Amino acid sequence: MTRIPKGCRNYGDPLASIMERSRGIFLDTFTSWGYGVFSPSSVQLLSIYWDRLPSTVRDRIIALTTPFGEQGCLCPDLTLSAVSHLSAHYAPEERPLRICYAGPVFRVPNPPETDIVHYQAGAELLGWEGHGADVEILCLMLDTLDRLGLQDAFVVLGDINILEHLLRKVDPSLSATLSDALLKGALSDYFSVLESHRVPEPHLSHLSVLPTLKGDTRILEEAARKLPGDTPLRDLQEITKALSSLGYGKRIRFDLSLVRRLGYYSGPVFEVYSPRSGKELGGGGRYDRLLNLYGIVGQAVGFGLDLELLATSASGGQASSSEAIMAWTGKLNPSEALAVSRSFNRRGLPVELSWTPSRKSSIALARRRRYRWWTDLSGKTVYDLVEHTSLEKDTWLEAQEKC
Amino acid sequence: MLTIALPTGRMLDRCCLILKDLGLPSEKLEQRGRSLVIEEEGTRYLLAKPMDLPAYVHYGAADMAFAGSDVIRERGGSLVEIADTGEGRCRLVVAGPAELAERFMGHESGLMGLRIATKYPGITNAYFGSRGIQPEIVTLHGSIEIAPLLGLSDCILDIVQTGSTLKANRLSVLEDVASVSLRIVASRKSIQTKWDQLNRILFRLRHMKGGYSHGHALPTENR
Repeated sequence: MTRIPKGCRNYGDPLASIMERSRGIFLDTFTSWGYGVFSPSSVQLLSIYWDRLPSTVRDRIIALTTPFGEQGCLCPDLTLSAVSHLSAHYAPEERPLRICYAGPVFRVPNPPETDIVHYQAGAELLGWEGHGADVEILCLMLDTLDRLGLQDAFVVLGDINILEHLLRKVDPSLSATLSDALLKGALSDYFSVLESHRVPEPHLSHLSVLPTLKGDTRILEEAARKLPGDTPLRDLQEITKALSSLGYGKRIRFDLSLVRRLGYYSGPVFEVYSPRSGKELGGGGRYDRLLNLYGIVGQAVGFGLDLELLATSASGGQASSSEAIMAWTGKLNPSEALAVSRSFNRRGLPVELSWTPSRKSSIALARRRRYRWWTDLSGKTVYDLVEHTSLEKDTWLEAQEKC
Repeated sequence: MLTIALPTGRMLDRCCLILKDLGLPSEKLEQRGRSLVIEEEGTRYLLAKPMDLPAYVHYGAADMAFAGSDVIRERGGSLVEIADTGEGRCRLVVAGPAELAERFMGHESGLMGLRIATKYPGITNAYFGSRGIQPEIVTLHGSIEIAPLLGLSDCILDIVQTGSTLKANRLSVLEDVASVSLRIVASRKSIQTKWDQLNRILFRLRHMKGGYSHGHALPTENR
């Protein structure tokens, strides 16, 4: 019995194929909008991450010593790798910089999770000021989700500045405790701390109402009524306006107390969910503060999505080889069979050759592998194994090409 | 439909009472028989072992759960703790024979290698680990109090309500670790997608006689 280390996983078909397809669609969408592809090393220098990640994430870094005696770690965060790369390889006049990536990230899992490796796809846009950058990133992300068949996925938007703005009006130690409670997801502690500290009005009302401001676009109007007049809502309003005009209005929700666990966010932030997954598909936001740590002044926005969750949500947990065909070679010799099957392949249709001498076994194998289509290469018919019908090969090829 | 995970065992009856007070359907739940999934007037109840409840919510199998703060701390998960019901109050303590008290009052180096029996290995590790103490943990699933008597451990880390079980086993509280009560936790996704329903529950919780929740802050039932 062979095994791999606990917390790791080998992906096989069909999930591996769907993940690869999702990765392809993701990179294709972003590269077609001028994003360069970035492929970071899985082993990075520990110093890149140590001072720039909050302790909760730092504790989860898998550190190692490289064979050259350097202190390294398995890449725990692709955004940091990307920003580190961009800051070192591009001059300020080359901005804005756009990159996308898909690769593994490694972290000690938080219970009840057990995986130490996750595959993440993401994109970063550095050096374009204003909410236009947020809109571009969010719009392309939603486009990608659409292309993956996740038209029901939605984005929850928040803005770190709103919370920080309200917390500036209370004692710094209380401010840190409240912020920490939200970060830990301890709403009951948040309210309990607020009660016990005798925060004066109207700050108490403002801080009390903030975590309840969750919902659709009407929340922004409610926030404008219930929060102080100088609350920084403008970025969210502008992003919402732009995304709504692009047809994504119904896929935006708001949580005005949203905070993200990676400490480097500094403006609008978001999380992505699908009705087909119980967990967050990913998230991101603006991280100007992180850029400052690299000596870059300006704005940056980016996000990461979990490729495995994307793939399982996109396929509904199931995968079928519905576009592919199994071709039985029958009595054809290998060169004849390969020559004939090229007619499928050249049209971009995936084909698997079945060399078994038995027609019956070939069909049984196609069914086992969940192929919808099966053909005898020496014949002129394609069989639909799901609908139990048959089509002329040429008619089928035409139909597939149109698809 | 709102899916609520509830603990099997002695806390289930208390949960039923709270649900009733909250105006949530509980008739079928009270006559549950051996069913572990009960659907009633737009609410689905899942009955599960207390220790498993955080995982149900973390993975999105349940929108919310009633779980002890000890269990939430031990099992972790990406959860949002939305209310403290105040029910099932007890304490998480380190307890042991009285003669061990001196070691606990001295320098922490004296606690190095301490053998602790517990059903909370995660909490024990974190509690002592944060002080630089590396204990030896013996994980048990019940009758923890007899471990020191049998020489299985030096002391225990467990929950205590009245202290009578500790007393009966010649143990006394050496350190308080945390207070424990029944909390309501929700999944991060449900917080976003079902906030109106959850907020209604919290609103009622706040207004119930005697008050189950801290909840100063939930100002309106419906926006």
